Amino acid sequence: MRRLILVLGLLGLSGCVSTQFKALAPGPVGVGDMQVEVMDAPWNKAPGTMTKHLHKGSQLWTRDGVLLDYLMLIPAVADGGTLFKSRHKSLVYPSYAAGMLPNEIVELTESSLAKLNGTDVVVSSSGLRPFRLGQQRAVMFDLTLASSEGPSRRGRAVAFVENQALYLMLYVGTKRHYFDKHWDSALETMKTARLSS
Amino acid sequence: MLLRWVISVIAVFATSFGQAADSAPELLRDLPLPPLIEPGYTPGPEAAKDVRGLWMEMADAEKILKRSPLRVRDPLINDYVSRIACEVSHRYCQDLRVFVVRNPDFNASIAPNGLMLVNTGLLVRMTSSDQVAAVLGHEFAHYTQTHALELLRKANSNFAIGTFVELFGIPGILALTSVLSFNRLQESEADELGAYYSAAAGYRPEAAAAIWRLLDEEEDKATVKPPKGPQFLSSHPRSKDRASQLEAVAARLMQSLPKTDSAATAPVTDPLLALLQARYALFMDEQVQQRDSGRLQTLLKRHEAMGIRATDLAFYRGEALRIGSQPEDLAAAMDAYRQALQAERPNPRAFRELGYLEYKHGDRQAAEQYFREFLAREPDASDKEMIEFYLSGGW
Repeated sequence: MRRLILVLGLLGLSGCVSTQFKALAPGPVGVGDMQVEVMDAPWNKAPGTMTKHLHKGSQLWTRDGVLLDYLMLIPAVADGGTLFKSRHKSLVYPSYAAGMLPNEIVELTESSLAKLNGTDVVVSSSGLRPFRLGQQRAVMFDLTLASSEGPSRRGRAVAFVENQALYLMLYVGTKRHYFDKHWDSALETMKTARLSS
Repeated sequence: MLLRWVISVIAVFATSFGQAADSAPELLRDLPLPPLIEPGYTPGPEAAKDVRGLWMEMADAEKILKRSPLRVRDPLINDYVSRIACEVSHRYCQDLRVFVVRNPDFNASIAPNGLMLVNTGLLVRMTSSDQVAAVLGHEFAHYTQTHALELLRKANSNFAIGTFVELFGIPGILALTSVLSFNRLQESEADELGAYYSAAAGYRPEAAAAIWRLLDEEEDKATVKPPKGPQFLSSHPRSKDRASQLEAVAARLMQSLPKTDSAATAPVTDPLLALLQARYALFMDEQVQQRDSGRLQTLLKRHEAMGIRATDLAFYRGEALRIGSQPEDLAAAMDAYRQALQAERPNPRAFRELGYLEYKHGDRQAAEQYFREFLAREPDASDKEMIEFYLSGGW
């Protein structure tokens, strides 16, 4: 987690474009070719400089700051693509493969997060279950991110596949307080996910 | 400057499993270098200010470590590692506090105040308790020679080490070793002294050299190769001479040790094998998560030679083949999972994985059968809802 936060922080500081968070008003928001709705403001969208390490088109939102909670929206990971972009050669993220079953998508997410966060965070998953996004077949699963020093975090993800591409929405908050505080709001937004026509 | 604690790390080298040899006192009297600190050392008022400050910082860090969810609390694992650390540290046993931490990488470290960290990723890579003793003996030698303190002082003059550790947490201490390395002389001293300490505790000194070969072999077979080699190797100069030097030290020590009649000694199961066998899933699941099929297969071959149960190996062979994501490997993965089912008490996960793979291949009937078997054995599985969904027809 510290690695992730450091990366987020450094990207934010080093960017030559805006490093400001942008408050999102209630209403539709495009995330790549996916659209979600802000149902319960205020979510704050992180600047692009902080999402450079995420898959193209991804967005990072937060209510109380990325140290405490964040909603990661990752659209359209095609066959062979990765959830995160590697920053150096030794960091090889596992690839999504078209046709992956839900359990494999969970493993992909878990392993990707483990590599993103580094070895000071142990990531584990549980509770894979089917989930409906309107007419869209999806799955939901839980994550825990146990940190060596910082607060442990909980996560819950919704994933679906459309046109052989993977869409992942992941909400993470500190186990104490912040996960519960904003989960309902995050879920309301996740439920609105659909592909842009 | 915020000084938190320090590093030093492993390096290497290392059957009587911890029974001190009769010649132990002689070996300890004949150490090539005398320890620079006495048992029970703590910096008093006469100590340099930075040393006293460092001890305070490390005490704070240790409190955090005690609460860390990454700390392994399993008594079986802790007792095993602590016992060896105690044996190789001899009269200094009470000065060491050993923490095993969940980390898939091969690494260990010791702070100047005797706080020793050992990764689970180290234990899973060793093939004998002699090798574990070699690593811990080496670490202990860094402690007695105050190498870590020297390193810290040097680092302290170069950059804000405390800030680095603050940012990266406990593994930052290990990560620091890629930035700060013991010099060649310090490593050489720790190699030689470590061999003495482990031999005096009854461990075979020739095991040390083998560790370098194991690490090299793993790097050669790795699917993902770090550009500078693994963290451990990057902090310990990779020299072809290293293993030879260790072998020379071991040969010298062997001459000092009493000859044992191996034929007259009943075979003893290495406690490391017993430990790995008892906690195989704990050690291996974190390796699977690294998704490096090459490394995983190398470990499995090593464990097979050690005598890990065939059905456990079969399950993880299935995992290695499956995560390799090569379509041609999936049939082999299924075969491996089926072998895993031959166990007296099969791993329920083998049923589940077979269910998923059969489903993927379109054999829903077979998938259903495996899923039912899985749920029968794991009725409270966290993914029960998903499995039941498949059983009710799926998508």
